[in-house]
Amino acid sequence: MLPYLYLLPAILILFSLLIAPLITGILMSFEVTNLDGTVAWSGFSNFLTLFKESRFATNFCNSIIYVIGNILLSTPLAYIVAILITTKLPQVSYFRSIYLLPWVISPIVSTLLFRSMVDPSMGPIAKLIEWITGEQIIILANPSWAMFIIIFHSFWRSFPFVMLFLSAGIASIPDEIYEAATIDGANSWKRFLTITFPLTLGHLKIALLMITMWTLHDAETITAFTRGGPGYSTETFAVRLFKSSFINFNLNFGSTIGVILLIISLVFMFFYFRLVKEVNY
Amino acid sequence: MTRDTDGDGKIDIWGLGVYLGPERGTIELSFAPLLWHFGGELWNPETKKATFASEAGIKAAQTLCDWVNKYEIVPKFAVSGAHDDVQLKPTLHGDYAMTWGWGSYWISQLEDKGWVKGIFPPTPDGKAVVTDVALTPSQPQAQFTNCWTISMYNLSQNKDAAWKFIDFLFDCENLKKYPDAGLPACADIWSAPEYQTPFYKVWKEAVAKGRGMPPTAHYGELADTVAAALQQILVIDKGANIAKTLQKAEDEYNARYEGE
Repeated sequence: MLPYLYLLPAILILFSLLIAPLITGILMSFEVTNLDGTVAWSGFSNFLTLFKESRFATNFCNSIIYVIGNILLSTPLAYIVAILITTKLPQVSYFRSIYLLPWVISPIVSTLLFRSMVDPSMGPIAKLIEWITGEQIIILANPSWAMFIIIFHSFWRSFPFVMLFLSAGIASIPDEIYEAATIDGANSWKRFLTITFPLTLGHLKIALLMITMWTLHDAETITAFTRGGPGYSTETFAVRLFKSSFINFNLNFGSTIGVILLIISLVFMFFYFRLVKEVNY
Repeated sequence: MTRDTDGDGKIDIWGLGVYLGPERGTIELSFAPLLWHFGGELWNPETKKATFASEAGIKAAQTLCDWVNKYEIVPKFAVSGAHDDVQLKPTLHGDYAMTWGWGSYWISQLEDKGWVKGIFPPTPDGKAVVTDVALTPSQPQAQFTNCWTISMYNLSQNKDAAWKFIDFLFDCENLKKYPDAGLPACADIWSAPEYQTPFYKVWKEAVAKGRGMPPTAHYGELADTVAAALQQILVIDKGANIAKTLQKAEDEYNARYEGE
């Protein structure tokens, strides 16, 4: 009995802060609040309205592009830097701290920093693109460039976190394994593929899962960058949820988008776990 | 008035500053005044349906599109960023020859910059020094004025207290204490000497010729929908499919909010 009593505070906190809001949110997605303040059960009508809109498909594609773009950019670089900072080279400890800077800076601060860098009149990124392409591109007024800069900012912020997880995994691999592989004639790439990668898969899975959740649920940086524009070209589900619930105060519709976001999160989670299970040696 | 002042092939001064970004300023200051001027309405109070995709709406969107893409007097960066970043800052920086949709909440900035003198706070000798304000020569009641509907929930459990609060808000003495965005919110204050300057007479005329946004509880969604549709037209489609884009936006809005 006593062990269960010890668990009770944690269960109560978990229930009141996580499970109860989750159930409330799901229930709200099946309701509609009338203008006189009364709440009525509406079944799947919120979902059907959402599915019928072309904006839904745009939101879906943007959310997936945002997550996959971020992961595709951050994971390879995180591996490279994690391998570098776990080598026993002098001064390497300084780099560990420097690489973590993007992660510790507030997302809004870094977004404003990036916004100033893409400013068409004086931003260095805007100037660089103008120098390469020969034409002035208003980055945040161009759908493709706006999405790219949002993904790039997210990658810049995410890679230190993935790197930290991977470097912890790499540091836990015994040196003897690498030494044995070297004696057997394995080159650096072979050692990475057969030792480092499989033995850090557990760390990679957790890091990717967390980055995916953060990216999928990230509303503040896109809102600060473009508010989902131009048009709906950078609007993800998280941005739409934020707009619906906290700018336009349509909490029922916001909850419906939240349920969609939850389902996508679960699909990603399932995919990562399956992937790691299949790849695991 | 759009000019390349240093001859480097890039525009240094844009003819017109107009807000076309993702905030509510786009519908209030740019689209609605044109739509009203062409005889259209954003929303029908009887059917409670959005009506911005009308012939007048198409003309309004076409006008904005021409300013950006055909005549190139409005910069494309007008579609990105906050209202302050697109309108206020470039204007004060001298990037626009004219700015359309200048809010009264920015009068103090003109005083700080030295472009007007004795205007904020208002004095009887107040005057424009470098820049002045003018009313857009549009149809009557085709200007936006910051006026909003005050309402109370039908399910309110303290209706009497709520009414008392509303009465308190609209008491003339209290309105004197709290001017709205730099302008008097009470009619008799306009007769004070400090509001008899040519500068404030323009504002008074603007208030008289102005109108508010539609009294729908979903105004925020309406504003977002119009802003997104306009951005699609201006910088993604570049003027193609104006009627189709507006109609699609109107249909999607009405599918959710018709009758509310």
